[in-house]
Parts: sequence; C-alpha cells; structure tokens
Amino acid sequence: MIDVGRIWRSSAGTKAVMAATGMILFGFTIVHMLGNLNVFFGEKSMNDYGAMLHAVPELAYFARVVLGGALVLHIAAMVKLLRQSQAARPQAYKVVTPKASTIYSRTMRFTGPVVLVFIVLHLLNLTFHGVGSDFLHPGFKMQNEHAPEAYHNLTTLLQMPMWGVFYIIANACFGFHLWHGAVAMFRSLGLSGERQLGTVKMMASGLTALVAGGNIVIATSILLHVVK
Amino acid sequence: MKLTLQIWRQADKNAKGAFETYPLDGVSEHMSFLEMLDVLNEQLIGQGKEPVAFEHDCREGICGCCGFVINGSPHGPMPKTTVCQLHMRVFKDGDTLTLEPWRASAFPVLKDLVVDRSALDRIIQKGGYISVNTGNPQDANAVLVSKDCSDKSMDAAACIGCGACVAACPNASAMLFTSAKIAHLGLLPQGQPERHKRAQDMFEQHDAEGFGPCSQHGECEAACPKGIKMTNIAMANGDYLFSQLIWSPRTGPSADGG
Repeated sequence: MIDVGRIWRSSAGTKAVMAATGMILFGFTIVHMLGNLNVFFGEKSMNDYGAMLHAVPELAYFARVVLGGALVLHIAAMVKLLRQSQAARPQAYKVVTPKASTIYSRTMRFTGPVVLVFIVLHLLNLTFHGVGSDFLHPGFKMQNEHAPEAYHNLTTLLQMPMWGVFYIIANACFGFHLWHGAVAMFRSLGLSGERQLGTVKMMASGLTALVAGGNIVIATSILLHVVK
Repeated sequence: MKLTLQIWRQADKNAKGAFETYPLDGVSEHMSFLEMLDVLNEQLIGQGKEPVAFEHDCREGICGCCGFVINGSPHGPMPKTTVCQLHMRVFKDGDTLTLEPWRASAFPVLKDLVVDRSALDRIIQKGGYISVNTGNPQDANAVLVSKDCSDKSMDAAACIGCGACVAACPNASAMLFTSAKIAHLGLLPQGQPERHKRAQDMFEQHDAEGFGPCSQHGECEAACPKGIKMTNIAMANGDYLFSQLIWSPRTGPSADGG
C-alpha cells in the first residue's frame, strides 16, 4: 500500500512530487509551443488547431484538471521545501562564494512566481476571456469563446506592446526556471545515473531552449508585426 | 605573510556569537591552515586570551574532524582538500580571511568553529550497516562484485563525514552525505537485503535531524574534499522512491529477532 502522507512528509518524497508535476507541466509546454507554431502558417491553420483542441470538450477539461492539479501540487511542494530550507539554516553566512550553483538554480524561487503570475494572466487573456478583460486589455475584445478565433486573439493581444513585452520577459524567466528544473527533475526521481547524466543534460537543455526560445520567437514575431 | 583573520567566536552552545578580528604576522606559506591557527592560538594564550576552538584530529585529510568555512568556501578555496591539508601558499600576503563554523540548525555550534555533527552519526545508525550471519568469514571470492560496482561503491565510501556538503548547500541539506552512505552499501551484493529499507530509514532520519531538502544546486559536490558525486543522490532517490512506491520494506526490528 502506498503511503502518500509518508512520501509527502519526507523531503525526498516532496521533491519527487515537485519533479513529477514539473515533468507533466514541462511536457505540456512542449506540445503547447509546437501547436502555437501554427501561427506562422496563417490564420486558418491556427484557428483549425484551436478548434481541434476543443473538439472533444471532455478531453479539454480532463487536461485542465490534470494540469491544474499538477500546478497546485508543484506550488505546494515549493512552499513546503522552502520552509524546510529556511529552517535548516537559521543563521546565514557572512561570506558566500557559490562554486557550482548557477544563476538558474539560485533564482528558481523567483522565476517560479513570475511564471505563476504569467500563467494566471495568460489564462485570463486567452482562455477565460470574459474575466477582467476590460481591466487587463481595455478596448480589445476577444472573439468567440470556443476559440475558432485563436489567431485573431493571439495576434491582437501580443501586438499590444505591454503584453508582447511581458510575454517575452515571462518566457525568458520560464527558460531560466526550466534550465535548472529540467535536469534536476530527473535526479529527484532517481532517473539519471552517471551514464545517463550527459544525455539527460543534453535533452533537457535542448527542450528548454526549444520551448522558451519558440515561445519568445512567436511573441516577438507578433509584436514586431512579422506575423500580422 | 601578514593576514587579517575575522573569526566567529562563540563561548558555548547557548551564547550569542560574533566575529572578532585578529591581525597575524609572520605566517609561513609552508604552514597548513591549522598550523597557522596554532600560531594564532599561541599568541592569544600568551596574551591571556581564550584560544580559538577548532576541531581536528589526524591532520592528514582522512578523519573528517576538521572543517570550517573560509571566505564562503567550506574547507577553503582548494578543490578536494580538507582544511588541514590546505596550505597557506594558497593565500596572498595581506589577505583578509573570514572563518565561520558550518551553519545548519542540525549542526549546533559548540564553541567558536566547532559544531556538533552527531546528527550524521544518527543517520548512519539508521541504516549505514549490513546485517550478516556471524561465524567463520566466508571465502573472499564467494560473492562476486563487478568492477563497475566496486569502483562506484568505493568512490561513495570515500566520504569522511566532515559535513562540508551541508555547509556548502544553500538549503543545508545532508543529501550528499546520506546518499553516499546509501550508495556505498546499496551498490554491493552484501547491501542488497536492506537496500530499500536503508534508503527509507536514513532519509527519514535526515529530515528528522532538521537538514534541508536537496535542490540539486551542486554546491555539495564542489565542496566535498573527497569528490563524492551527486549521482549518488540520484541513486538514493531512486532507492527511496522504490521503497515507497513499489515495495515497502518492514521498519523496525522484526518480531522473531532475526
């Protein structure tokens, strides 16, 4: 019998939850980015893709529940581990000389919340259009709730300089977050031994560059009217 | 060499500590770091002051007793070197060195630069052993060990338990230490019967001692005087998750005493 409470109470178990949920969310962002490349193939391509995602509403809601659940667990794990970490070193060093940790690993606790804010705004912008629309992007009306107008919504939004720049910055933070997270999650799950470490690092860095880079390219192209 | 030393002074476990500054002249570059502190202490005793307490034993880099943080680096700036094996030639004339004890709630400061590392012993007590039948020793070649496993196991077994990994970790986690002990036994045939129970029990004791979680920063690996690798952490995580998700080992002594 799996004792969920016992796993959650241990720091290695909490890390495994963080890693497993991180893996789910990372997997989703890869598909999400690849799907959004449709924007480069014209309005019809993008709108068809949007309609396809909503073709089976049950499936769309299932995905939302899984992703939402993963996100909540990911954040809960972060809160628990952060507290444990702070309790473990009540007195800080006077001098700290980092040797191996990277700017990516040390900023996880800051890039994470930025990505969270981005996710919330992103959902309000393009998924739950009605909510806060007047406040978030005054004068901009989203078309049709069931997303056949995905192209119009995305391009109109990101052509507003404030939103375009925000999306680019948020995705840069997301890239930072993944650069450390994508390698760390394999170790937390005990999946990268000495032999696999090189492959894991290469794969994780490649996919991180692909996702964050792809998103930034899409946002930049729309912001600069390369895609109209 | 002329040095300025900023050293954490703390009278006992409950006292409030503070940094004190000591100028030190006539340091030979051939001295080890601890010998340099011996010179400082001789001077302090001569002045009727309390000498700086620091832990040390073999001074050969193999016992794991010594260790404190020098300018933000546990055991000082030389890689794979304990502080007793660190020589003053690494530093420059006129340097200011800040000496701090390991900082972790699981390592209470006993005095000055000495911390209580018995939390590591309690982790070992939870699983850093194998159970074998007593009696005549069996033939040395009766249990075959592959070269790959024996190498990795010996690499993990090189851990001297100095606590530098905890000191270096931004989360004050002892995962490198704990995982080295888990891997050292878990890689060998003799360690298999208790492999997953070992990971479970040692991990739970690690948390109970108040060490932090592992964020995979890699500072532990960089600070380790024995070059223990983080791949041990991945392996121990795998063993732990196996014990929780796939096959749950019995905990505590079994009823029949066997």
